[in-house]
Order: sequence, then C-alpha cells, then structure tokens
Amino acid sequence: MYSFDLTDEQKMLTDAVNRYATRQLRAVYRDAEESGALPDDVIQTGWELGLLPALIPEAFGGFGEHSVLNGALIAEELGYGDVAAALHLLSPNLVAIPILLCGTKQQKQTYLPQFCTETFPKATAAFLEASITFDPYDLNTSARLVRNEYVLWGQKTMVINADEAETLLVYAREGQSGNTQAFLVPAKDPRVHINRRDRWMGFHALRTFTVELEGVTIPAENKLGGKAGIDLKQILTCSRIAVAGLGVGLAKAAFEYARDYAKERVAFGEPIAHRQAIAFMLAEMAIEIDATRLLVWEAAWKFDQGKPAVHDAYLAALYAADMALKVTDGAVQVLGGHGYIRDHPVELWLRNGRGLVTLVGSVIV
Amino acid sequence: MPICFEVPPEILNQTQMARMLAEQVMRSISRYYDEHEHERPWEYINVIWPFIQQIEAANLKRSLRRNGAEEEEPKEKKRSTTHVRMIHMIEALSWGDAGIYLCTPSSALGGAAIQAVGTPEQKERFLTRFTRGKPKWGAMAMTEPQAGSDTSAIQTTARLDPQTNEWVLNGTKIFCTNGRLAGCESDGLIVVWATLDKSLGRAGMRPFVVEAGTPGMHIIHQEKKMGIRASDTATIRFENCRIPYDNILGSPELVRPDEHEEKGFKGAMKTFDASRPYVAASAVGIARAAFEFTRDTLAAQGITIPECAPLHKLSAVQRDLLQMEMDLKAAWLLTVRSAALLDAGESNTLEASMAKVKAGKVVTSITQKCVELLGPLGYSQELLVEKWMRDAKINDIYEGTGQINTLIVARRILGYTRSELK
Amino acid sequence: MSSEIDSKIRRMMADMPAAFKPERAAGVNATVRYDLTGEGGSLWTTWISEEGCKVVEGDGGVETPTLTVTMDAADYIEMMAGRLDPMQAFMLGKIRINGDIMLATRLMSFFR
Repeated sequence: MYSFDLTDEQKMLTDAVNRYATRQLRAVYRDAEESGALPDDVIQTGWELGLLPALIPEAFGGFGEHSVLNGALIAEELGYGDVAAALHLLSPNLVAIPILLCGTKQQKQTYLPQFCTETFPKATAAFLEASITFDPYDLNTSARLVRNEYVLWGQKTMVINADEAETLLVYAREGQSGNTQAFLVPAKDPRVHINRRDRWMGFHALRTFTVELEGVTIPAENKLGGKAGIDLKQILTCSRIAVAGLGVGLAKAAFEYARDYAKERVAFGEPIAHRQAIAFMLAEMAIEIDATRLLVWEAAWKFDQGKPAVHDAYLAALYAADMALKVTDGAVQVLGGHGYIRDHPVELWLRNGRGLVTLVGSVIV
Repeated sequence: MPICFEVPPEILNQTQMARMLAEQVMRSISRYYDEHEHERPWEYINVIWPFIQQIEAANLKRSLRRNGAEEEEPKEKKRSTTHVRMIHMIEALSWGDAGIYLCTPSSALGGAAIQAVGTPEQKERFLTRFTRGKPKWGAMAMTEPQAGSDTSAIQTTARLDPQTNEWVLNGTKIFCTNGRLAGCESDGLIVVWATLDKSLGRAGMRPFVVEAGTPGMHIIHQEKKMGIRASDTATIRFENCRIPYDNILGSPELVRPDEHEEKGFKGAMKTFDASRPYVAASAVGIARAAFEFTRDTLAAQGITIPECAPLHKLSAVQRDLLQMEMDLKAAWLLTVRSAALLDAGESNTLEASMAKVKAGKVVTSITQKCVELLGPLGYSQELLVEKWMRDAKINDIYEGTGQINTLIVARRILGYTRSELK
Repeated sequence: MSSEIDSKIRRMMADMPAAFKPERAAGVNATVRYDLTGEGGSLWTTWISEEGCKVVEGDGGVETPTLTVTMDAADYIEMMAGRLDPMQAFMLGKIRINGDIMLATRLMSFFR
C-alpha cells in the first residue's frame, strides 16, 4: 500500500544530515564559493557522519546495506546545505557504489574497506568528457586489452579532487563496440596527467580537474567486474537518483529562501508575498519540488525492491534537472535586484541549479 | 508505515475490471455519446450500477458504525485503502471516457456532503437508496450565474416557514453535474447550497437535501459543452421549493462570522479534500489515454524513445514524449499521495490542491501536445484524441479552478489567511 | 488440507454442467477458464452455450478463452457454496477477470 512516512531510522539519519547541512555547510558555503575551497574540517565532520559506510555491508567493512532510497534522502539534505560540498562529500561514492554493485568478490574485499575508515577516502571517478555529444554508451576514452593489461587513452573532465586521489575509477570504451567499462587506475601513475583545475559557472568550492590518460597501463584484473564487466545502466540508475535528490534539496533551499524573503520584503505597502504573481510562483515551486521528490522516491524504492527502475530513474533525473533550474531561477526572480547580488545565496543556487542540469543531461555518475 | 509504492493486489484486481469496462464498453460508445449529447449511456450505467451499490453499502455501513460506536479503537486497525482504490478506479474509467464516467450512478458529491456533515438518521434516510433498486444519482448544486469561484456570493436563499416547519428555497443553480439525472430522471437527490442570511457571507451558507421530484425544483436547462458531452450539466431553478426541516445538513444555528464552524461551510468544504484527488485522478486517466495512444501510434511509425539516451540524441518528438511521460507520472504520484493521506486518516488539504493543480495543467498540456504530434489524425474526429483534448479542459476548471487551487497552495505554504492573500 | 480443497473443487466442477441453466444463456457461446490458485489449486476450462455446459481440467486446447477467472481455490469453494457473495469477492479484490466484461457480469446468473 502506498505510504510516504520515513522510518525512525530514516528520520534520525535525515535529522543528522540536516543538522550538518544547516549548521556546518550553510555557515561556510559562501566563503568556500568565493575562495574556491571547502574547509577540511567541515568535510571531515561530514565524513564522520558515516554516510557511505552506512551503505556498505558489514562483510566489506561497513555497517549497513545499500539503499538507494536512503541515499536519496541523504542527498536531499546535503543538497539543501550546499551542492558543492555535497558533491565533494559524495565523490567517494562514485567509486564505492559501482564496486559494491558490479565488482568481483575480490575487488569488493580489496577496495571497499578503504571507504569505511575515519579518513576521507582518496578515491574518485573519471566519467564525464568535454564533448557536446557526450554519450555514456559511446565514450571517447578507450581501453584496449593488450596481453594481460589494459591500455587507457583519453581525457576526462569534472574529476572531483583528482589531485588528491590515489585511486581513479575511469570509465572507458572497451574495444570498438561502444561497450562502456570501468577501470581502477592508480592516480599517481606517471601517465595520468592532472592537467588543470576546471572552472565552472557554479560549484566554485568544488575542486574538479581535467585529467588526461596517455597510454596508462593497468593489470587486466583492474577492470571492474572482471570479465563480465559492469552493468552501466544499474550504476547510472543509482547516480541519477542521487543527483535528482540533490536537485530536490537545492530547490527546497531556494524555495524557502524566496518564500521567507517575500514575506518580509515590503513593496507598495505590503509584503510582496501578498501579491498573486509572487505567491503563485512560490506555490508552483512547492508543487514541483514535491512532485520531483515523489518521482525520486518511487525510482529509489523500486531499485531497492529489485524492480526495474532504469527508466524511472532517468525520468526522475530529467524532471529534477528541469525543476531545479526553474525553481532556482524563480527564486532569483522573487528577490529581484537583490537576487542578483552575491550577498544572497539565490544567485549561487541558480548557477548550481544550472550545473545540475548540465551534468544530468550529460549524465553524471 | 515506511515509504512504499506497492499497489495492493486487491486494488490491481478491481482496477483490472474497470480497465476492461473502459476498453470494451466505454471506448466503443465514446463517439456516439459525444455526438448525442444528453442521451444517457445506459450500456455503461447498467453494468457499473451493481458495483456502485456495493461501494455505497460498504461506505454507509462504515459511516454509521463510526457514528454509532463509542470511540473504541480496535488494537490492530486495518489500514483503509478506500481512497487509493477509488483513484485507481476513476483513473481507469476516465481513461475509457471521462464524460461517461461522470454518468456513474452514485451518491457522488451529494453523498459526500451528507457523509461529511449529516446525522446518522440523515445518512440512512438519504443514502440507503443508493444501495438498492434502479440506478440513481446524487448531485451537488453550488455554482450560480454570478458565483463560481467566489462561493460566498451565492444568492439562493433558504427561509424557514415556522407554520409548516419547512425550508423554502429560492434561487438558480448552474453547472450542476448530474442535476437532471439526480433531480428528475431517477429517485435521487441534490444537495443544494443556500444561505440563511446573505449578510453573513460564508457563515450563513448551509447545505440542504432536495429529493428528486420535489415540487418547486425545476431542471430548466442542460448545457451544451466543449467536451465531456455525455455528462449531464444542468441548470436548476428553485421556486418556493419546500423541503422538510430535517433536510438541512448540519446545524441551522447561525454563528458570528468570525467563529469557526466545523459543521457548516468548513465541514462540507472538507468534502472537496476528498473529491479533489478524484478529479485529479480523472484528469490523469484522460492524459494517459492520449499519451499512450500517441506513444503507440508513433512507435508504429518507428518513433520510439531509446532507453536512457543522452538528450542531444533525442529528436524533438522524442523529447516531447519524455516530457509527457514525466508530467503524467508527476501528476499521478501527487494524486496518489493526496489519496493515501486520506486513507491514513491525515489531513490532505494542501496535497489535494497540489494534485489538482498539477493534474489540471498536465492533462491540458498532454492532450494538446498529442493532438499536435498526431498531425491531421490528431485533429480528425475519426480518432478519439481530439475528443480527449476537449474532455481534458474542464479538469482545470471544475471543483476549484487551477487558479483557486494554486491560491490554496500559496496560502498554505505562506501561512496566510484569505485576507492576506487574495 | 490441500487435498481436501482439491477434491471439493473437483466435485464442484463435476456438478457444474448440471447446475447450468442453458435457457438463461441465450445467445451465449463462450469459453470460460478458471485459474484456481494457491493450495489445492487447479486449472479448468469450460464451454457454455444454449446447448449446455462442458467442463474439462486443464486448458482444453483453448488458447484464448472468452473469459478467464483467477482466484484462490479456497475462495472459489466459499463462493460456489454461497458463503462468499461474488460481488463481495470482487469488491474485496479476490477475483481477477480477464476478457469479456459483459460475460463476466452475467456469469453467475447462468447457474443454479
């Protein structure tokens, strides 16, 4: 039967993340955005919430189980705090979850425990490529099997914390077929070049890099999933749901800020929230946020139940991307001139909202 | 109960029935009744009536038990699924034909008002008829020529005649769904909103039950509409229409306008919290009919949606299809949520209005887009798609327009009263 | 328990042709499949027309019956014994039907 209540455990989880988001992330995000870096202690505190180990089974060093629904709940709270910090904090998931879903037993046992320690894991994924026609099923980065090794060539962008990473999960096309696989690459390999830091419209606090692979050679057993390889659809399904969750959180932040502003701001003798034009914009934002959340939850629930969720996740991500942009744009609009200056968060949230669209449209992992 | 999107198998089974009825009976008579407005779809009415009788009987029994019994809560309260079940049925039937669905013989909004504020005696007296005998209809008459969205502007009056202890109703109601069916074509009833004292605005309004055939109630007109033509939309004039004192629902005691009146206007307004999800469900059904037909027709022409394609690989038509599919899902899930809240015994005013706003928008955009995508076929009356677009439009209008419902949402999210946000 | 249900159903199916009132089935020429599920369940196919009613176990070689009735075997017994009203069974969602809806609404009227 349909039901929409959080369990007590989920309530504790979201309360904890929400506290972190509102007290810690909201305190630092603007300075981080201006300076281009997030404070280490804030990241460490976020890591100590144990969000990723909570998704990893005990057998591999964690203390929970993989739940995309819980992941979506977490993503919403983090996105509510700050999307750049959220992406930073979630970047190890980009490696751990694919290993959990598709890795061989050996790979799980070797790698997953590293994501369950007290230190922030030095692992990140390299997926996106700087191309207008980026297609996850037809990558430019290639991996060729030569005897017992894979040789990787290509260029990746949006690699979070690449300069600090020790392990890169690189997505590449194996052979000519357009078959996308993932490879565990030592980041410090001399043929891995961290070229330059990316500069985006938003997420300035997020340190991402363009990474070049010039004939990087790795043992064949570093191919994720062994001979069988990965189920890219499954991985993308999980990440789409998470990104959509981020979008819901971001939109909620923007909506609440605009709503509170509109109730205070007086024009023509009354708060502007008294005017239908403004009130209706806010009402529509609220409706769309709620609708998106339901789409996300349904996709997540289906995945956790072992039901087909690929298309649902795809739709949820598309919907969330549109919604996040519309809502953050609406928030700037409600604030008028004040929405345009960096004293208020909404302009940042719009820039971030636009980024979510781009990344989802290209399909971020 | 934790987050769950499982449809109970019982509901799936019942919805299956509705789907078969929609496909086999309703679709085959859709065009006929669209072209023969004001003829009655007896093929549908007679088949669905036995099921409605059961539903009415179960509702009445439950409602009387709730009134009769002391407040003893059974230890393991079985979670109700009534509203979630209803939206599934309504969605399936509206997928068939929204206008014909509206001809479903049942106590409908009239019954809802009686359930919401009637006494146990009134419930038995008025609602038992819907559990037996020939098909009959219940209706609600609220709107007047000068009063649509602004319900406080109604002018139909109810005056008490102390000598005969009867209410005397005078006024005109328009846009009353099933008004003629309820008022004179069956042994039904109409719940009429009238005012005891115009100066009190909403606080003076009360619902009155007028049974079919009551002298002084004249069905003077049936509207010719853009869509849902199978549905009876009536104008009713009350000329010194006399009804027993006991036909007033709730208390006739007038209270000061600023006092909260649960049993009067507000109490009966709560019936819309239940009916708004139903209207939203009907909208979703129409939208789904148009979307599925369009998707399947395009697929037969080789235009499909590749699974999870990057957007730059999609044609405009494919993006349109995806947009429709997403919007449909969004509207449906909001509708489901609003119904599930009712089943859980929780308030759903905000959620019901959200669902109605979204569904009203979506059914309009989807049906219009489908007509567009199907080219000349979409516009032709050889297919039902153009009819679905015409049927769709009313969903953003009746039972609270999209604008009114947006206003309700806005007031709730802002914490504003009627005087703060007009 | 399961064999008890099974033998009751077999008896009911054996009695069906006798309980059928052909005069009520004027103009009907249909196949009805009973997919009785759960403990003691079985599959049956019947032919009904003005001439009478024939019952076989299994799918009877009929690929697409006019109507398929799916329900729990124990519920079927209750229904045929008059302890579970068919309409009630439907309202409780205990019956799933697939096929000709008009036939479905008339089905019970052909018997007893």
